[in-house]
Amino acid sequence: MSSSRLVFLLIVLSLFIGGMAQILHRHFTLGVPLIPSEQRQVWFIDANIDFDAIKGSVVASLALPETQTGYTLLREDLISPGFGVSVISTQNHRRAEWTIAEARGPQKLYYKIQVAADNHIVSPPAPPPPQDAANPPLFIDDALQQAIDQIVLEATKKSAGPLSFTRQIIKFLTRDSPEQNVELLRASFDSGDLLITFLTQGNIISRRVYGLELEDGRRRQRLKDYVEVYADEKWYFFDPRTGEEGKPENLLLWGQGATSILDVTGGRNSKLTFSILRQEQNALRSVLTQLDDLGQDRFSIYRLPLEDQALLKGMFLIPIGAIVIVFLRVIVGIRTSGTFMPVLLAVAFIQTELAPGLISFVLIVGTGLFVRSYLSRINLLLVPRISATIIVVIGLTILFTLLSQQMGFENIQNFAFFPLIIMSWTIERMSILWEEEGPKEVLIQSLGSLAAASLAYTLMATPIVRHLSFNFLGFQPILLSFILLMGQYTGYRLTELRRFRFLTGDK
Amino acid sequence: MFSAYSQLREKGVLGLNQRNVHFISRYNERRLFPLVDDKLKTKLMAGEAHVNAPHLIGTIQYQHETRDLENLLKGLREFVIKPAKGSSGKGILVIVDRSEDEFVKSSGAKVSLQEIRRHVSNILGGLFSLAGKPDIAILEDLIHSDPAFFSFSYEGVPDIRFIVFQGFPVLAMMRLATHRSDGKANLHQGAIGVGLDLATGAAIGAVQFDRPIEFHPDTGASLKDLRIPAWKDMLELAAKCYDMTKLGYLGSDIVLDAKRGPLLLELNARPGLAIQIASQTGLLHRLTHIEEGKAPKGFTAQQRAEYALKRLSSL
Repeated sequence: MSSSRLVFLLIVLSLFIGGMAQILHRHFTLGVPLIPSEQRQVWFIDANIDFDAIKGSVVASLALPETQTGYTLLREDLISPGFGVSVISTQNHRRAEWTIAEARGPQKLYYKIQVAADNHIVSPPAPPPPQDAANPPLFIDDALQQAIDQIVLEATKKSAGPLSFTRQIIKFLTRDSPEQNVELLRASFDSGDLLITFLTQGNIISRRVYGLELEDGRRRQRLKDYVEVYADEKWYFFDPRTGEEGKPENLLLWGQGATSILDVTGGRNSKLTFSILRQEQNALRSVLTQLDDLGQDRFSIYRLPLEDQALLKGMFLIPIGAIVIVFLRVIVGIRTSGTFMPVLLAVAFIQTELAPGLISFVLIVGTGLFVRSYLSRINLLLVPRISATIIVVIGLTILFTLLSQQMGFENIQNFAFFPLIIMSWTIERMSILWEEEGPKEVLIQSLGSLAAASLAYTLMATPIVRHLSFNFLGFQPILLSFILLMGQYTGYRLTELRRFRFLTGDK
Repeated sequence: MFSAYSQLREKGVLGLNQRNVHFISRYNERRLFPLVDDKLKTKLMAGEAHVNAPHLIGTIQYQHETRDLENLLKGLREFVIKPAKGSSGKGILVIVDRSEDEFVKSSGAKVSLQEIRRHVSNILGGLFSLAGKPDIAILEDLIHSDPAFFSFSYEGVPDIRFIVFQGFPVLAMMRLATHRSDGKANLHQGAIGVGLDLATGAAIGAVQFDRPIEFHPDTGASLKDLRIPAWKDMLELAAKCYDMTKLGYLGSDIVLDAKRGPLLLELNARPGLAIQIASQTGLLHRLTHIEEGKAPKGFTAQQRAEYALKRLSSL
């Protein structure tokens, strides 16, 4: 293989790989779906805070959820009549703070979020625990403390590390017929607090996390508390009530890293409840909104004004038409009138739809040819002749539009979608072809052109193709690599197999 | 389908894609194309290179010159007027006789000086040229076809197309005008292509519209009886066209004049492929033979013609 050929193949290959990489990157790391109809679940979660304000100023502070593995925060809204609102980022979590100078009686605050499930965006690894994140000790009397010490001792004997120790402790705490001391502990404290107390005794770093079980249509849901144990530079998730390990899929962690979820100063009887709704949303739209919010998609055409988007979308489709033409001419060997005329025709078909477009085009070009045959009899020079044809085409467009309106057709503007100059040149070429090569060649080339245009249109109108070319710029270099490859195809065209059939003795 | 494909490969048939990529774009420099696309340039070049061609009587370049046409035609009994950049034989006016102000066309129809003037004016306006560009009208000698071809052609003068690769003639075909082709020697307009044996100049087979044919549809002559006189001179003339143009992959169209012998009619930088069907021979075996350097280098046109006759014809 010559070196220039090698360079050529390398260019083709890198175009293909580059395009593919861009598509895969957008799909797997940004989550842009490959199929236009792909749906994804979006959870609409309303957190309702109720409390009674004691006369005076009030500060309500709520720990907020973050984007995490499996769930992505799409948007959040804080609603609170009369309250001042701000979102404060602390060292390891965010809080919403509602403040008011004077409030009295029952108050309602809302925090609404949309969370997308099945998302590809992975949450950043959890930071190592801050040194001062000691869990507040429970108030425990001596007798119980002795019982605790004993259980810790026993669990230490039976375990080999933080995780197995945790498992042992949970086994003690969740036993069906527990010892009297454990029974007493269970009655006095909630299971999460208790587990953390034990773990602290065993010198194991742990923290409490809160989670919301996502279930469609639930109201008045509350957060549940869970325990995470730090080992091997990772947090391991435990349900202290059942001993189950690992975060359930339908659990949305809330306020990771916060010691308390809701603090209300200047109020009492505070209550945090959730209502949850699930919706299937078009994955593309929600991903794009999300990417836009994150500022991650600076090269998306969706950031442009709608008018410019439409223009670009039309442009993105033209390479598809081009590759159809290349294929039909180089591999199949179909003759068309004007190399890329069928592509422009296909673009017009997108506006008119196929059948009405074909009919309108054939009507105008057919009638145009008829008029043109007179123009050729009066011996005009080329430019005046085509100019005359253009005006004739305009006249025919208006005539057919008015006629179809008279006859009550719906898509009366169909005729106006075809580019005038293209129509005029087509008429000119067909007419010259008729005089030089006869009607048979005209028929062959017009059928070839219309077939090419229909095929290009069919591809350009296919939802998946449109989706790929609009959303993945990498689609274009892939097309280019195929076009380059076909540009070096030196084999026979399909039509040549027939043309040269008398050479192979195959009559 | 795949067997048809491999059969063509085996036969060494050259396809359009391969012709374009491998031969035309590799061996024909773009800047040389105008030399053959403009018949006036070809003719002047042929004169310099001592390649025989029909005599140039004169040219008409500007519309006002058409008024002097009478002077230009003074004393001419027979002549041909054609556009320099015409394609597929369009716009060629052949006058075979004259009586004062009446001119007789090859078809027997009579035209006036006024009509000839209009025809020339149309040529200058670009009516027959590619893309309608302004053109030049060429006035040249009438060719008298060799009597050997009388029974084989209808109206037009038959010519012989050679494919010349790097100076070696590799394939030859005679093109016969028919009623279908309107007296023109263009295959896709219905002219007959008769494949010729490179060694002898005798007919191998004939096609019309890419299909085998045995008899001339208008004259009834048996096409396999066709045999070209002065064959070696013809090959040599075809080979000379390469030295003249430096086009590596060339189509040379040559006519046999009854008095002057082989004459170069025109050249083509993108010769068609139907010649393979007419001669029942694929081009590739001969082309690769030369391309791989098996043919000797530095030969004169005469030696190359000799080589084609003796060696290439059997490939």
